[in-house]
Amino acid sequence: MKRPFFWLFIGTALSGCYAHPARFSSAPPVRQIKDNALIQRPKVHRLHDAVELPDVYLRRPLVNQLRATAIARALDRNAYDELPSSSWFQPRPLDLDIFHQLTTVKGRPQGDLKILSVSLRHREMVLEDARQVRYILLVDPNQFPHSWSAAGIIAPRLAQAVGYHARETHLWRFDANRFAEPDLKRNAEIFLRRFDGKPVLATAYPGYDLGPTHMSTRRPGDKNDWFSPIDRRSLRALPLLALWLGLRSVGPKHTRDYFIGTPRNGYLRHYIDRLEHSLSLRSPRFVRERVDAVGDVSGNLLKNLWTLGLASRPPSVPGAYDDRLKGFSPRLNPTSYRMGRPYEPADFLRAEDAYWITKRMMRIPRGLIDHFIQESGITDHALRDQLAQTLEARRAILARHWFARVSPMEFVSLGEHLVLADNALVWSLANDYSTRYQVSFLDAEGVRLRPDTQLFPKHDSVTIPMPNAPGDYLIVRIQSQRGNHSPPPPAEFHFRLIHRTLKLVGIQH
Amino acid sequence: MAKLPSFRPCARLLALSILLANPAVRAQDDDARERESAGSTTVTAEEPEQVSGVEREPRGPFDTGRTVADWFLLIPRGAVELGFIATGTAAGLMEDEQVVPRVHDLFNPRSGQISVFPTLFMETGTDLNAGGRMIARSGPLATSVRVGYGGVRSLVAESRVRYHAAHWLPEVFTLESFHAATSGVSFLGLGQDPANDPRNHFLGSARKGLYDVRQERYIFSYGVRPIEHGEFLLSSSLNQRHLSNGAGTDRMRAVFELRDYDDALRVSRIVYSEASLRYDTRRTRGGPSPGYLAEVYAGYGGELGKTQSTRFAKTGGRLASFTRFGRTAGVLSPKIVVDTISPVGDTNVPFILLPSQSDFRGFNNRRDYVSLVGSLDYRWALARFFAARLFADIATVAPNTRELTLNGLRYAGGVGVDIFSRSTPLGSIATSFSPEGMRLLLRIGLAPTFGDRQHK
Repeated sequence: MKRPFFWLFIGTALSGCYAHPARFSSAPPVRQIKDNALIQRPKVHRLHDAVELPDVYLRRPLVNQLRATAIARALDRNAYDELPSSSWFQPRPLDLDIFHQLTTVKGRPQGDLKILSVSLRHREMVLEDARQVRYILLVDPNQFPHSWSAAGIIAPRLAQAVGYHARETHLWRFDANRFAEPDLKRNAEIFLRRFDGKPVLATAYPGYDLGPTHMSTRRPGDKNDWFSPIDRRSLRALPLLALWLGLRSVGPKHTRDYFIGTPRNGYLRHYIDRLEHSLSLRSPRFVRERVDAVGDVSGNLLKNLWTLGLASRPPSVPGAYDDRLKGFSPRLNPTSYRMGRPYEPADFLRAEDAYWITKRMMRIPRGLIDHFIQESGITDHALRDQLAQTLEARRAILARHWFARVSPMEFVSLGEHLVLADNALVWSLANDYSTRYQVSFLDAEGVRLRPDTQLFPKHDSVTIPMPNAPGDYLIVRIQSQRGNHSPPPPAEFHFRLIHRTLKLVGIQH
Repeated sequence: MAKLPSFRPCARLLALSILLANPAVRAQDDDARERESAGSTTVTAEEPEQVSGVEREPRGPFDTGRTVADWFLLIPRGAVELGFIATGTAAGLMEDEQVVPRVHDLFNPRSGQISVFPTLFMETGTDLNAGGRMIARSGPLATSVRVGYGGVRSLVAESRVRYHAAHWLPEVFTLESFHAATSGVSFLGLGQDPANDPRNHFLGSARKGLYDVRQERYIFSYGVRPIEHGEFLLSSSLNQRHLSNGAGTDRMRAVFELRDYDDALRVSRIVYSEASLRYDTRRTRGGPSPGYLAEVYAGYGGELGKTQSTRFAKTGGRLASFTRFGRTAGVLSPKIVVDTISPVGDTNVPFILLPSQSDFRGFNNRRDYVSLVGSLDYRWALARFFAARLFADIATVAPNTRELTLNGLRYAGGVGVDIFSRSTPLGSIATSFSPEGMRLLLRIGLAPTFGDRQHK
């Protein structure tokens, strides 16, 4: 063994011969994660530029470049490649009544109200109602009524329809007479006088605010936080949700943890936050940051480096609130989500994660989108239609892009034949006449049981004849091919023989 | 009351048929179909391992090779990780590197925090200095403690207490203490060209001499910001230095004649007071931000405990403009820095007090009574909070202002990248090139001069 590197190379090359597919257990897929065991309230997490910025701009790119292993699949998905219910994600029925029942818990502020803080600059007030429920009120800019408030109604509901937790929001007419405090501070007095009778967006606090969700590590002091943020599909795919909803930038400040329960007994729930500045609206906070710091820098980092910054525009200081909902464009580049600053889980986005979230976006019926827009208080019918069409167009662009990067097949039924639906055809994102499928049958070790077959879709699904004696573990591997495009990775459907019947036990896209 | 016939089943059937006609809604029933196929009801995971349902992870033909490569990369990856270990969070104090914070900073304190922040400094010809800074803040009071270790040859400890008030104008009171011990510091002699300067008397051929220094310094300062961009600072310091002969054949007494510097190689206690004015219109000192900077200072100092004590006056200033380069995100900034020191009366000024040209990014190893450094920087933003720079510096020193000429200028140029927060530089890596060689500068964390409120 005088040449250790030679033998290491030989060993590595030989071990490459030992490849096998995943193997699923016969247990039914997990639909719920029990991550709400009672714990003590953890410490509040704050973001500090001095720590975060060197980390996101220097350490993380360097460390990630020094990793040779492939990005692992998300760990919070179940055997059917879906996300179970958890404190991070809650798939909800898209029936309007049930959806409303599940998402409306606190309602509007009730009884006498107490002011906790006021920011005239941000047009915000934090208050507590008679039930000791906290709300944050946000008033639209004078020149653009139904802007932040409309986005604050529509976007959180759409995020909830996808399955995320988002804070409950309501339109509410601000009533200064309900504040019965004798000694008001000057800012509070001005706020009451200036905005009395105006419609405001009331966002309920679901619990005790623990600050932004950790984006690189599990939260200390929370034993329910099972997976690292970079291994969570819901966080990896977040920029795509932001892209659909027209959130100008997404970053760690857009995810927030709330503690539900008493300080000694409770659990965390993880929310998507600050969605009132979506639908391409700007926020006053955003404007302030752009003034204080160097501001947004357009263009690619490497391009900026080689061109000495001469190709990029200077950071502009926009006029305050110069956007309106009409500017929400149906055109977007499906890969160019812009980050407020690098968001670590997004670095680990895999195609199947993107497929998963675009699929969930596409499942939201147009009727539900229309209803959310109607709830936002927008009275202009043309604007309502435009918003709904824009949301549909944007999700279709995203879905078309990401559905082409996986084999978007879903299980329909299994009898003598296996029937799979092709989601690209279901939502008319591809043509059935240019689509064909390469189907393989494998055993648990990845050995082909019979020669591959080529099949064609019928409408939006494909029917696959199953082998007569498949053994106790069967993998059906199917790869969609559209026209002359290079085929995406195949989808795998894993079956096990349970009580002499083949049962679906796992799906991998 | 008679019960009315219910139409609900019919309505449900109608709704179902409408829903089935809609492909979007068909797809949302996938979950239900999947559940039926597996014959499962709601299954709850009690452990993280149960969630994915995978008994055995897939293995590709290249996975072993990737794993082996990953092992080889473990050490460089670990080295990078170690360099960036952030053992805590840094506080808002660091965002106030402007000596006197602006009004909005005063009204937005982050109270009750204790933060620890790693620091790492390295430059060519010196040891790597690693350490940490702890910052605590409670209301208007903030404290900072810094420790840096660069081996037995270099040790730095610094503490600082700051109190800010905003009764009428933003004001800051600061008390700082500083201890440093450094060995093997080099001194080339006086002047721009020490080898040919008649004030230097070398024993044998001209070469650098080495000395060790240990110093303790205490500074009390008061700052006020009377206008948005202007600060006025008053400070007074007590500085005790113990200079001793270095080790080896290049020790000071082996390089220079005894009469030149023997008086400097002893313990000295200097009291120095300074007033300075600064006008800085930049929104941020961290990023490439347009604006102007003008600063002047004047101070007077003397030695304690000697009849023939050293007395000196310092004056200087800097002038810089930061101009947006066309319609791009780049900022062009010419800067000129002048520092002078003059003996008062018939006294000598120890060479250690002479201006050391710390603004020069080449090898800043020239000392004399007057120093001039000019620079031209082009900084451009690569991304938010991340910028690159090209720079060129010139430097010269002279015995007095009349003899200050542009002949024999030293020059250096280089490139670097910086990372910064909204108002504070947080780290940088730069390389400068000059006829004397290449100099590498690496800094992670706050600048070593953070909290240094007097001109050296």
